[in-house]
Amino acid sequence: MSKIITVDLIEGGMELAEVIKNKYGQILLSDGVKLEQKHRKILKTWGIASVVIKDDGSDQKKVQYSQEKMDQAGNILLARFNWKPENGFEEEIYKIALERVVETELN
Amino acid sequence: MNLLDRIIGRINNLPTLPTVYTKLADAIDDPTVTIDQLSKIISSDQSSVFKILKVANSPFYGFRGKVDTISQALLYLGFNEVKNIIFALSVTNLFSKEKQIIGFSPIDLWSHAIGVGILTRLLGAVAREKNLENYFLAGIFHDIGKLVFMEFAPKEYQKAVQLANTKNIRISQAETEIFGGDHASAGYLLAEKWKLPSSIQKVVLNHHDFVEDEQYNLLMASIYLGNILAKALRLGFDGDNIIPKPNLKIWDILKLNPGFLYSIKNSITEDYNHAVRLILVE
Repeated sequence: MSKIITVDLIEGGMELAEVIKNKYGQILLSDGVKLEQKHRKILKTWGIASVVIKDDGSDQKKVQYSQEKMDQAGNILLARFNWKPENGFEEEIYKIALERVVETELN
Repeated sequence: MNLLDRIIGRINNLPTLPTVYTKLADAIDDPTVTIDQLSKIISSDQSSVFKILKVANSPFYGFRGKVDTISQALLYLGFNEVKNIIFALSVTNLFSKEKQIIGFSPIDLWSHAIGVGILTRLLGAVAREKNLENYFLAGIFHDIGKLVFMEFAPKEYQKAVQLANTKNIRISQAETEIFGGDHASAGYLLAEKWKLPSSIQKVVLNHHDFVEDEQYNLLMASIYLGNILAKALRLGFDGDNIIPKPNLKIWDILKLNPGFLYSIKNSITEDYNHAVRLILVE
């Protein structure tokens, strides 16, 4: 199984399921390469927006995050989210933002 | 003359839109045009044919593998939506994707724009709007002024990005300090030059602050919330670290059910990943 993700979602240890080529067809990274966090920046510099990685479906089971991670995400959000939710919709936006910080920046 | 005026003077140096787009736009304006005539115009450009079929069959539109010909795409998606897809694909190629702005690349910005397009269209659909044709395009185009800055004044734009970071202010404020005007003003002028629909021109000018609009109120509310949600979801990056508080008026216009926003988190992220690949990679 494989899935497409944008380069922002690359996490250390993910394995490429397809080669990455530039616009001239030259191979930049081969399939099977284990990705690292630093690849996010490198791939963006090369103009690559998304990659295909091997996927065992395990992340679909992952629905809850530890309190420690959520607290860390809350601290990161302090600078970005400088207002208090006033209604249910705004609370949903805050919860989405919190979980996405965990998924994209703390994993 | 401030820096913004000088950049605006250079907007005329931008390449014009591809012939297939302008021919199609003219043909659609003719009330007697047929699907066959439109198909012929699109088929004259093989790369447009290939890309339209890919986009039409993507999960975004929900037809999954059922659109085999351009005539079907025109029939299922509508003339204007097909025109919009060609426009979105063309415009992403007009600007360099490899400009070096530290901490903010054109790829980040296009990804954000695609995320906003998907969210804007979804919010319009949920509000039961029947004519969704300009919703995705509005998302694609809303931040185009930032690309104008990156293209014509990359060094100064780097300063604006740094200023927004160090002062923790919105990028539009930083742009105004550096350029004497923000990306909404620059984008609006480009939208005028390219004669985009008046709804898109209004979106480009007013996407930061919700402005009630008699004719396009739902579109304005959808893009406004779509932009905030794309920031919260971290779909791409638009140069702004700050997630603004929504104007309370939009909740009455959008009439969302409680729990809806949180429920779309995962499916939107998947649609976004597919769309980024289709539009920016393939």
